[in-house]
Amino acid sequence: MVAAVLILGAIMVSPILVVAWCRKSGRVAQPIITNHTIGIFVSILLVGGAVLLSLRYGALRMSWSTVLNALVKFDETSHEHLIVRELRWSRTILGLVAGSSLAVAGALTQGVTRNPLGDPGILGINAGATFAIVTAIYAADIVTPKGYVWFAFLGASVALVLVYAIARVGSGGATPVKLALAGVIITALLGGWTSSILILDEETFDEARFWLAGSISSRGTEEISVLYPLIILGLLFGVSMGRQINILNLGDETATSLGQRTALVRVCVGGVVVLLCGSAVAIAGPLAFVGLAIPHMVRSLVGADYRWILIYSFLLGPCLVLGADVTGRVIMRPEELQVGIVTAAVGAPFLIYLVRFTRLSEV
Amino acid sequence: MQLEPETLLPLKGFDLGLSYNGPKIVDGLSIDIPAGEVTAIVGPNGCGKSTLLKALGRILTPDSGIVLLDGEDLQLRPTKAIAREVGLLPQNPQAPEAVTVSDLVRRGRYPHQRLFSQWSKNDEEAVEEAIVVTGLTESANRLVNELSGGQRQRVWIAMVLAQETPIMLLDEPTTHLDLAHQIEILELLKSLSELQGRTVVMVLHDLNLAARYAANLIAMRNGEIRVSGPPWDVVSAANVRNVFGLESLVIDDPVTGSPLCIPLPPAGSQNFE
Amino acid sequence: MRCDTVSFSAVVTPVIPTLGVVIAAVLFTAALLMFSERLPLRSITFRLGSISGLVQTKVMCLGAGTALITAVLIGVGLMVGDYPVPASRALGTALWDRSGEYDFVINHLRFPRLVVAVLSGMCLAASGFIFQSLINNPLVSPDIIGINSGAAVCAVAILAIGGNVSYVPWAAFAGAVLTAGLVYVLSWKRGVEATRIVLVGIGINALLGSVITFIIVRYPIEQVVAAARWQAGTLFGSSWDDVRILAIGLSVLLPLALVFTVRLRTLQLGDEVAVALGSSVEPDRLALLIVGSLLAALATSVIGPIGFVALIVPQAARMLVGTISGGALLFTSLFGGFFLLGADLVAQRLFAPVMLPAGIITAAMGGPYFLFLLARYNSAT
Repeated sequence: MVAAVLILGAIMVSPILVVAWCRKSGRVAQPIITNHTIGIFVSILLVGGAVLLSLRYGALRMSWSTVLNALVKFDETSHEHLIVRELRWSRTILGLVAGSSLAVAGALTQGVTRNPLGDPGILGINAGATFAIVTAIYAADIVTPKGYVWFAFLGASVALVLVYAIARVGSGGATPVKLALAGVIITALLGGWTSSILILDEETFDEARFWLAGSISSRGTEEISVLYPLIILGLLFGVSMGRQINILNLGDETATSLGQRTALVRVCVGGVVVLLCGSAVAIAGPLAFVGLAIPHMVRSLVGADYRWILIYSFLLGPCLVLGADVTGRVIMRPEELQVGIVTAAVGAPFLIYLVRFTRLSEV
Repeated sequence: MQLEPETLLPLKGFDLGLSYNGPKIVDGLSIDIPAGEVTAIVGPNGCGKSTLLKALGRILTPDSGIVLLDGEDLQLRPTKAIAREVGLLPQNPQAPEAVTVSDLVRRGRYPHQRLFSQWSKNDEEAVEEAIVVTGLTESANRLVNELSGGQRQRVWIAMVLAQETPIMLLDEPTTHLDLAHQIEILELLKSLSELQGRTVVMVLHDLNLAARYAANLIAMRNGEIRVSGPPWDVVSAANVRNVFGLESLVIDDPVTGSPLCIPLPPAGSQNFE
Repeated sequence: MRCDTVSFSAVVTPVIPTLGVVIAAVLFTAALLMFSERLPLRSITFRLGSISGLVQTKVMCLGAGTALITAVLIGVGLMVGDYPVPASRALGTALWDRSGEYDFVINHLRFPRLVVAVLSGMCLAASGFIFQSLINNPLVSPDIIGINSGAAVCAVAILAIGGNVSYVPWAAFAGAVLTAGLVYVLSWKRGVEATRIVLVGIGINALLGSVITFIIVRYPIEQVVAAARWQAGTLFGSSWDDVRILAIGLSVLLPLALVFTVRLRTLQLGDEVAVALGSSVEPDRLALLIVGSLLAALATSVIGPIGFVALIVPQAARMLVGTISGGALLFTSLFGGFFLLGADLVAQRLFAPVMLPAGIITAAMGGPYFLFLLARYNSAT
């Protein structure tokens, strides 16, 4: 129990430590990682490590050899091998997919809105997708991701548009704080409507409450396999937009004079964000702060070049989600703490750290 | 409101060290503001003019040194009491939305108001007079944000006037205004000082306007006072070179008789004739 | 004989007209308020010895009109419901005749609920007024400082573990106040800045939100539903005890808020001008935040977190009244009482006999309201 709490504490503090160390080493503007071959290699190792941890740790204790055997010398009759192959493997895949989708979506949002708070959860996109999904479950009895993912896309898009529109009201246009506030309002609005539905129908509530906590446990791989092409498309497209975002970050006027079609770029990025977030929410429920913490950490390590920020976010996002998931499985054995709760526990102190100790609050 | 000579308050600063929690902007500066006259603080960008003004108005706490208002340390007096004697208008004040002219001017009475006395006869009269003197009677019920730049600045000055303070500190009251409005504001301030005996200290960018409207000039550079005194003592080719780093010719303003500084083209520049 | 009278009334007063009365009252008020926009901007001075003040006639008219409409709505609310009560008996039973066949319905079910709606609406609107003026941003409400999530954590915890329900309001109040304090402390860095409070608030809200989610996931669904219902905010089961708590709190906090409104007017001009006018900026801001937080915490602990009242009402009131003043605060407060009362009546009758939590109606109103706000601003700019 003590060990579990320590692990949770360590995970909560690590993004803060990474960012703080980068800043204190004096090189606020210069990237720490300049050799990207090594950087990407290390990141892939980290992801691999996260995958292995995710296969090894869980409600049922098992040894490394068991895990290895399950992967290599699969024995159908072994209970443990089945757990590794069926449950934990699919869970790990979900974690990988959700983690990279959300991290890349967050980096994209931050880049396009020039808003350091561009996390799909903060900006209400998750709430939109959630509301649409809960409505689908309640009204149309749709219970598989295959069915309600289209609702998720719709909900995410509408929320995105609404948030941006509300934030533009008044002087100054869509400043980061106004975007965040608009996100809070839309989240509250859609959250209220979501709660209303859940209250009206206890069955829906019981079905949905685990998923609403953000969980990567209750889906089989076959159900969501239809989403894979979409997500892979979104990820490929998103990561390749790094160059466009770099130009966009120079300011609208400069970008236009350099020949970029800013409106088109924004719409494309918006589409990719909706695709990635909608899918991630459909798979794993609303996971907050992955899109906030990872791009920030990556930016401290890698500098302001979005080509690298997107690639590293893609690689390191799963580390956070899988790490949070493993923590959740381990900390309350034999029960489980949903990954969404752990990411919130990680993300909130990180946000507060950003606000107090960096120049974030001067945006 | 006419001030008796005895109520003229001396404002002095001794050995002031000022910073914004960083490198020192002003160090070891002493200053004596002549009472009942218009004083202009001039100098190049970043020389510490605004910083000094803020310290004189207790907006900025000095790191070292002391500001004395009528012989008392500014930091030791209750802030509301100071507000009854020193009025300050910072740069670029922002009016809230949906505020009318008379509403904004009324807020200048805050230092004189008590819990249950929110609109005494004195308050009403002071606000009336401020609005009349600044020529805003017709606009009294209009929204401040609908007015032109010059009118808006007049509203803020009216607010400081309504505060009824013997000393008025104004930080760049004429920047961002066109020439006509600049003259309008400066004429107003000069006449207020002459008719009502107020001490006016303003930070100005335009050296010539400062020489024309102020009885005293204080020229600063790099956080220290290089020269101060009446306009003809301060505005000379040598001083302008010293303070602004600019070669100039100083002549007699044919209209007002104050010194007029005409910058000379930099040495070695092409003559395009 | 008596039964016949009741059933006859039940037949004669079907649901639709009663809902219609409510809607008509709302529309009438909207018209009144629109009309009042054309009222000239005159001020009345009053002086008595050393006491003096300035009141805008427009604000006074609006305030009086709102109070009147609220009284009418209370009357309507006494009559309307699953057991319709004729008008003559409704007022009588409520005010002087405590006995009689309608006593239970009127004096134990309806009247306290109506008064709670008005009083808590007043608290929320006043709180929203303070926050929006302090942080100078129309998108701000007391939620940002964590009041709702703080209250919710404590309430949900108690309800989910099946604890004593009577502890819920006190725990909710404590939770709300402590959370607000935590957000304030965490965002204090040589003074409090609006943007920092907002961002720290988002973080703390998310953190507490995850704790609430954890609780909701851990406990049996039957207990959790009760917690979820509390979280939606409801005036169901309001009692005279609730009225007492709200009345006492309001009678202390609203005058305080009025007193501090003057400082709010000074703070609005910007920190430097405020200091120049002799205001002590940080203590004033802290005092206002405390009063605003206490008002919101008070209402939330009694009726649960009802969103959007504190957000929408001050916005709407400002569109009518413009600049902030003591009168504007009072008007906003009264308008909030009217708004929540109307929302509750609609929530009760819209899908009769199913009673919705009032929070759903205010959330439902939030959507169209924001679209309206967008349309108005986008056409103005």
